[in-house]
Amino acid sequence: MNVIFDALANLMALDVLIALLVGAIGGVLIGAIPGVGPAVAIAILLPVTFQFEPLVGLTLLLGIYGSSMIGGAIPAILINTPGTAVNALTTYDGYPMARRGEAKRAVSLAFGASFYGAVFSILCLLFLSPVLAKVAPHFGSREIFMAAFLGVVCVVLAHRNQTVVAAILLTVGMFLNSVGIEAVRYSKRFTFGQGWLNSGFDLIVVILGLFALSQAFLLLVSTERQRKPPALTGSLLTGFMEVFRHKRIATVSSFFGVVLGIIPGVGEFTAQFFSYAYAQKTSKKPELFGSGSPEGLVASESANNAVPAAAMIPLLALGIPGEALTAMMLSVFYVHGVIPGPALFETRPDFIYSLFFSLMAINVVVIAFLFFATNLLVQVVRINERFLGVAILTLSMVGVYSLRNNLMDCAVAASFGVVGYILRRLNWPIVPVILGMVLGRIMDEKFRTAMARVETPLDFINRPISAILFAMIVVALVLHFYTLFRDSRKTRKE
Amino acid sequence: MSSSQDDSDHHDSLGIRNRVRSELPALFFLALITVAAYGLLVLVPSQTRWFPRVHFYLQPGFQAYVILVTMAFFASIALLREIMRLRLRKSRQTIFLWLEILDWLRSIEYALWFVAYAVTIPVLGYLPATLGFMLLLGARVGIRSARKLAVLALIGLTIVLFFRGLLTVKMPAGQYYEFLPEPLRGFALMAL
Repeated sequence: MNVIFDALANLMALDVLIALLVGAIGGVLIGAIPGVGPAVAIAILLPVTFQFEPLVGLTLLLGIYGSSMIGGAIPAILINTPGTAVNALTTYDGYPMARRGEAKRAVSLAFGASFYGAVFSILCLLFLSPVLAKVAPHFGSREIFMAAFLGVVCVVLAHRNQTVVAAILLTVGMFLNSVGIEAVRYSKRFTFGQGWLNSGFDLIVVILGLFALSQAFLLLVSTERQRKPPALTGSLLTGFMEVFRHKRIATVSSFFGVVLGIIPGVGEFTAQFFSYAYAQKTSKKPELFGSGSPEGLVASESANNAVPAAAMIPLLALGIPGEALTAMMLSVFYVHGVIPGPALFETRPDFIYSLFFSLMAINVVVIAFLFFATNLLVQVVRINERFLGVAILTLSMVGVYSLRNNLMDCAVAASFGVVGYILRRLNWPIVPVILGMVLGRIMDEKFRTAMARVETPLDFINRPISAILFAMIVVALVLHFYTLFRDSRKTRKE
Repeated sequence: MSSSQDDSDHHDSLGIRNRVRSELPALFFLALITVAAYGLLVLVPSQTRWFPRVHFYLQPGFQAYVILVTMAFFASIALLREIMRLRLRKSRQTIFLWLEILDWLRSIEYALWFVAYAVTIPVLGYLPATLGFMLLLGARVGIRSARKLAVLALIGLTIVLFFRGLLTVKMPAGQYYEFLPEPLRGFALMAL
């Protein structure tokens, strides 16, 4: 009980409260502007948060992460353009509802479903914490290596129809991580005699290049388009409360969000897919899905908003990020010497509970803000794309230059910006590069530590947890190849 | 659901590319990655150190071998698959390739703008460099209205005051600030 009081006391500190407000409201704004997204905002703010206390920095970033998807529903519904990538499914039912004059109902329903999903997953997280605290200490080097390996496999397999490309990009990220002086024998790898490569590629610089700069280039090069959102009339509360008429769908979708959010590399898209398919199959009006079904809207919004809290589980318990945003947050932990992983639950339980409570508070602040400011936020959607491009490029400089005041970092970030731009143009995923860098480092480190106690390769899986993780890897691969085989047989028959 | 899905097949979030158009550019980019993977694989012995009496799996080059072999393997598969999939619209495809590469090069222009901005900060100072960068780049991308340019300048000023003045983010002070009169000089060195 003391832990909970300590956590609440941590949350009451003025700087944490300011970070909470700025993160929550800033996240909604960022989400509501198509073309920015939480990854860009977090990449820019990441180096700035290094000077704050870890809880302050993480609350700010969590605020952006947790609330941007709620804000992203606004342009998805009003102008058929998702504010963040995960709001794409919201356009299927939200936009048709807006077109038939139910814009306010759709927007408030999306807010209600998002809030439901977020609260559901935070409660799961709170109840799971004591279990996690007991299980996490059983994770040694072998288990963490296997969990990271499972993450690698899931990241690749989650990119359906792009698995080979995702595998290539993941190895590119792993290779980038291996450049520089390695930590065990201090020998140089792939430095080509260049002094600036001795310290390798900084994760933050690569993230800023691939996410923020590439997005700015895309906005600057794109053709300008006019966006005219429809006016919102009526009360937000009615639609917000309507979620409770669809509580079965909201609960199941949130559950999918929690379960799939925990598995590294899977995340929002798969959770939404399962939830949407479930809602459609069990609906009395399945024909409405895709042309303005409130159930479809509830399914997609509650699933994607249940993921952020769940994605914190592998990060906090094992130090393994499941997707790009939590990978970025990992840097905040490391900069402050707070190492996420099994020991964190024993040494700093108050810190962990503070994060959970701040997530809950963020969602309350966001909903309160949206009740007053939605009509104003609709205008944010109109912001000129090139204007945004110039602003993102200027803000990115704060992130890159403030790291080490190093011009080479700026050149490296600009180069990765071009690479990220090409990847976006080709519609190839960027996330595997970042996860390759982060998971590659964890795997390298844990493999070397584990090898000191391993005599045969089988020793890697002779403990229960590592054996379960290995079995999950095998099952994931078998299922993937089975569905490939089944799909190709179906295509041949047709 | 299907109409939106069809849309997403042909256009990205900004609606500026389609799948047919990207076939050859994707092949080109894959070829680049494949060549890089094999090239780096060949370079592993010269770019990593081999320690005697140490197991091969604990050698610094082991991880590089595993990663690069995997990268080369997947890149080769993807490249071969793309070559086999390539349709017969070769003449149109070649045009698309050059159009796409031209678009890639356009992003390099903005990358150079970014580097130039970084170079000017320690000389001019963060505030003048930011204002100059935002106004010139704004004009370059077609923002002509005086009101919009003024808003850009205001955003630039806010960014500088917020990050350097308020959050004291580490940005270098400009050399030219030295020439400012005394009371302003101190403020500029601290907050601008």
